[in-house]
Amino acid sequence: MDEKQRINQILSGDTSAFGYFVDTYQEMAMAIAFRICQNKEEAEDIAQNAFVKAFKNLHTFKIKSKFSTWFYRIVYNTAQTQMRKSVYKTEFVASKHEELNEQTDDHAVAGIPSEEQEKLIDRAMAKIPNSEAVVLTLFYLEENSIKEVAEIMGLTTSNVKVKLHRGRKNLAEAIKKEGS
Amino acid sequence: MKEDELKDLIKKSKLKPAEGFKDRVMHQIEMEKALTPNREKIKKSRFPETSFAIFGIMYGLIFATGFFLHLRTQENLLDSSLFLKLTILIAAISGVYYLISVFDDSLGSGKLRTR
Repeated sequence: MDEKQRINQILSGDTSAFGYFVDTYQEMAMAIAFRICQNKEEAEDIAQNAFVKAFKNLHTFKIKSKFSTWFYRIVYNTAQTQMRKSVYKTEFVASKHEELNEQTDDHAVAGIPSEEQEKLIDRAMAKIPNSEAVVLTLFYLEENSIKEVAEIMGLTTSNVKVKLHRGRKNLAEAIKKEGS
Repeated sequence: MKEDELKDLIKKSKLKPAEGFKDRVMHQIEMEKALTPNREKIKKSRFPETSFAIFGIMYGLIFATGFFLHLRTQENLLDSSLFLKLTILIAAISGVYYLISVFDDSLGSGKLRTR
């Protein structure tokens, strides 16, 4: 059964069919939310609220569109709203990055165990602007196109390209610093 | 750092939610669905179709009565007391039926509540 058939099933009243979408998209929802709030519990909260919102507004989903794009936009907007309301906002203070040294150490993560690499990436992602972290997550984790990333984040494709380019640079720099 | 390397690293950063996440989501959805008041589930009014049917049948009956009487008596229908009485009777019955339909539609769409 494809996603469109499942959506029709849910709209006909079979709530349990929504479980498929929770199973399929929960990890990505967490990843997007985590990139914005930098807290696992809060990311879970955001992801949960996003799923509930998606269910309530499923009747507005255009069946010809891609569900993942529509849903990730909800996650992104929910995360942004929750962060604006959050008392303990952590502001990213843009640090002045030196001109990228083209000869960055390509072996910054070589030899580090896989589990450590995950933590390294999380720490490095936390050091770059949230919007760049989200762009990188959407582009590489789920392999969304530039156009899809732009649609999810409400940006133009040019903006996404710029953020992707800057994000790669900043993340590589952050990984190098964390790894050393 | 090469793009493939960066891509592999980022792929490792996928987060798994805590145990029972799906159950919590589905539970919240079921709760909110159960708490949604029935008031919101308003039936679509079929009043325009019903009105058209009532008045269509009324005029159809009046026309048929007039045609039948004209064939039998060959007189001016407007001078015929029988025709006028039958017309009033048909209009009265249709009027009562129309009022019942209005009342039923109001009840169905939730505009009017009875205890």
